[in-house]
Amino acid sequence: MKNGNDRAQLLHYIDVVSFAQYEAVLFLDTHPCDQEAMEYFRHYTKLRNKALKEFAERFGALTLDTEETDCAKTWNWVETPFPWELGGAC
Amino acid sequence: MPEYKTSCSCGAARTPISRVQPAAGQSGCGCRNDRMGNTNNTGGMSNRMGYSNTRMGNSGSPAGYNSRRTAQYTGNRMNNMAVSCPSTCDDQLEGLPIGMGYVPWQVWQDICDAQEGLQIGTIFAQLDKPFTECACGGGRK
Repeated sequence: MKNGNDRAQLLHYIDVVSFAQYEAVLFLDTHPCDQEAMEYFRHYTKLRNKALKEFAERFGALTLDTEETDCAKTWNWVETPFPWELGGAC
Repeated sequence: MPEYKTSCSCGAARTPISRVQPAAGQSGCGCRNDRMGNTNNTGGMSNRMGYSNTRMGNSGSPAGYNSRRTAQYTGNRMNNMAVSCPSTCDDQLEGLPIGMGYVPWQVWQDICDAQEGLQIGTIFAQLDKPFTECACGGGRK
């Protein structure tokens, strides 16, 4: 994902890669040895993690996993809008 | 005994089914369209025909009323009605026990683009079934 994309575009991209990743999850639940599905899952997991990280850096974390706390002095999680708030993920 | 046409309306040859012998009252090709006489045969076929008619609203019975009696009633009415259900001569489940559900084993293939997958609701092109037509219309496979 290029840095020039805005928040809505990045959110949509996260939706796309998250959906693809979870489709692979559902398939793998019944086909745990399928190597093609495993490779697909790894690919989209990588893209999703990268996109979530970029989103957190630019617009605030969507998940606690990507909340940056190492150098932070305050709890930024509550500073960014929640999904049901104006400007949130919805 | 039911009367049969000399040839099946679906065009299939009346040859014995190799995998499974036809059920009692069922014709050689397995098609349900080739019965034109009395339908007072096995309960299974009568029920299926009666149920279909009840759902289509042709039986004159209240919607959802699907007792055996209704099925027999509508089955007998079939004597004077044109059968409009699609041919089942190409039924790939022919010969399998009735009353069971089947989910064919899925294979990882025909994967859509992720963006398209999100739009249609699945990344598997084979599962893209909008079901925009009724069952008797064939639907989209």
